[in-house]
Amino acid sequence: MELQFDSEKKSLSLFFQGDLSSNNVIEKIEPIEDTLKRIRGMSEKWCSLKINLIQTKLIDSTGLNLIISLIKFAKSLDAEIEILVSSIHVDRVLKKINFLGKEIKVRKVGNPH
Amino acid sequence: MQKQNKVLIVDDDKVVREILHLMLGKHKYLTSEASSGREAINILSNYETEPYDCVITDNHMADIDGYELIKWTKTNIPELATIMMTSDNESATVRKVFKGGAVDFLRKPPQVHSLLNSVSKAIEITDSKRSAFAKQEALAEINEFQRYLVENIPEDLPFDIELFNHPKNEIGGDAMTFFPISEQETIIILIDVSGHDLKAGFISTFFRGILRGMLENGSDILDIIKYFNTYLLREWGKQLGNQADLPTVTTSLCLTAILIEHKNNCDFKATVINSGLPSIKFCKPDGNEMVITKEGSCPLGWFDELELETFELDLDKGSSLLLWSDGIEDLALSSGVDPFAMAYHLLYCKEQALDSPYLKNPPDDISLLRISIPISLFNSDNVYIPILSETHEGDRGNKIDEIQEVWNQSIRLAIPTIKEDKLLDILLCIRELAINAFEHGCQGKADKNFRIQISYNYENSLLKILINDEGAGHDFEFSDAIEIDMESNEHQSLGLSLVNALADEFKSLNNGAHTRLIFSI
Repeated sequence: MELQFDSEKKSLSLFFQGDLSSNNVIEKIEPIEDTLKRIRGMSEKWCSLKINLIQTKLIDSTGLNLIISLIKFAKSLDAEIEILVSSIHVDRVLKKINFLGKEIKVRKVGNPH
Repeated sequence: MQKQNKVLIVDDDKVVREILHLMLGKHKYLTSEASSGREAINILSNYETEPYDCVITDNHMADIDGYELIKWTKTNIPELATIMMTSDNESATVRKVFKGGAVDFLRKPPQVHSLLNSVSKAIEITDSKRSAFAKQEALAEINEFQRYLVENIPEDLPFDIELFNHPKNEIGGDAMTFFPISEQETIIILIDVSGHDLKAGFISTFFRGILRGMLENGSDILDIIKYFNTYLLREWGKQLGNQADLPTVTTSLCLTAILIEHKNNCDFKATVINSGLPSIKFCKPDGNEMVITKEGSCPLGWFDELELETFELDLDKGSSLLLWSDGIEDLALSSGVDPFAMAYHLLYCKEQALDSPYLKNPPDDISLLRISIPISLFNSDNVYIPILSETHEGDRGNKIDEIQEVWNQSIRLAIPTIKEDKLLDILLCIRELAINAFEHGCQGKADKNFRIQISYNYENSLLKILINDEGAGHDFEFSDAIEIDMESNEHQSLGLSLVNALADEFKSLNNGAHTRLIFSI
C-alpha cells in the first residue's frame, strides 16, 4: 500500500498492490495500520481521497471492510472520495454496494496490463 | 557374407572422385559418384530403393554447395551420416558444417587412415540411427495397435462410453476391454499394470487376452480376478523371483470390473468390483458425486487373501460412473487442478488436451472412462457433471489462497471459455462461503470437515457450487441490497450479502451449513 499526497490539490492517493483479500489484508495488517495512522494524522491537510485499486483483481469482504473503514473516515472529514478500478469484477462488487448517506465515485479505467 | 557399405562421393573434380574411389574400393567399400550437389540430391532421392551408408562431399560446387547438400540430407534422410571434405581451412567453415549436420570434417587431400577412420565412424552413426528409427517405427505401430485394443468399443452397446487413454511413453500399462456377455449384460474392465514401459504394456496386453478368453469360456469375473491374483503370486512372481533372486512380488495389477445389466429402456444396474484402482465415482445428475468404492484397496499380486469390494447400484437417467487410473490423479496434482476438472477436460476438450504441454510428458499412463445412459433416451438439459470435489479439514482456513488457486485453475481448465470477471465473481463467492465453513461450520477444528462440489451443466452453461459443513450453522442476516450505514460501526454480513448479490441463485439451508450457488456462465 502506497500513500501519496498532492499538497496543491489537497488530495491524498492510496495505492493498493494486488488483491484485497482476507489473507493479504491480515498478513499486511501492520503496514496498513501504520498508513491509516498517517492518514488520520494528516486529516487537516487533505479534502479528497483517491483509492487506487487499479492493480486489484479480486476484493473480498475483508478487503471491502478495509475500504469501508477508509470511506467512513473520509466521510467524517467531509472529504470527497473516488475509487479507481480496472477489474470488471471489482467494479461490479463496489457498484453493488449502497454507501448510505455518501456519494462514492467509482471510476473504471483501462487495464494496467 | 559380410555387407558391403555404400559411400556416395560428391565432388566436381573428377580426379578427387577417382582417388577416393580407389582408396575406399581397396577397403571393400562400394562407391558411387556425383559431380555436383544437384546430381547427389537426384541420386539420394532414390534412397529407399538404393540406400547409402555415408556421403562424402566437397564444399565449393557450382549449383548446390556441400553445406546445402548436408542440410538437405539432414532434413530428408536424417539417419544418413555426411562428411565434409574441403581445402577450406577456416574455423568458421568447420563450425558451419557441423551446425548443418555433418558428422565429420576432412581436409583435402585426406590421409588414407583419416579417411577410413572418418567413413567407418560415419557408417556406425548411420547404422545406429537406422536402428533407432526402426525401433521407433515399431513402437509407433505397437502404440497404434494398443490404442486399437483399448479404444475398440463395441458399437451396439445400450449405454454410452466416453474414454480417454494416453500412455506415458509409446506403450502403456493401462488396458480396457468391453465384453458383451449376453444381450442384456456387458462387462467393462480397466486394468493398470505397475510400471509404464514396454514390459507393463506387454503384461497388460497378456492379461487382457487371458481375461477375454476366460470370459468367452463363461468364467465368472470374481473367479477370474482370484485366478489372476494366484497366478501373479504363485507362478509369475515365483518364477521371476527364483530366476532373478528378486522379491516374490515383481508385478502387480489393479483392476476394476463393472458389470452393466440393461433391464429395460432407461433402467440399468451396475455391479462394481475394484481391486487397487482409485475409488469409483457415481455422479448424480444434480452434480453430487458419491464415492462408491473405498480408497486404497490392494492390487492383485500383493497378498493371498483378497478383500474384494462389490457394490451394486442403479444407473438412472443423467447419472454416470466415472473410473480412472491413478495417472489422472497424478496429472491433476502436477497441474494444480482437481482430478474431476482434469477428467472433464480430457473427455470434453480432447483435441485441446492432446496439444497441451502437460500431456507431453505425463507422470503416468492415463486412462479414464465415463459410463452413462445415452442422452438420446431422456432430456439431458438438467444434467450437471462434476468438475471439482474437495473435502477440507476445518483448520486449513489459513490456506485459503492456495485452495482458491485450485478452484481457479480447475474452473479455467474445464470451462476454457469462461470470462475473467465472471470467474472472479465465482471465486469470491466460493471464498466467502468457504471462510464461513472454516470459521463457523468447522470452528477451525482439524477434526471437522467441509465439502465443496462444483459441477457444470454444458447445455445451459450453468455452474453449480455446493458447500456443506458439519456445523449447526449460525444466525446471519442479509438482504438483496448491500447497504452500508455510514453512521454506524455495525453492518450486515457483508460476505454473504456479496454472495447473494453476485450469484444468479443462492440458497442456504440449516442456517448456512449447506449452501448452493448457481452461476450463468
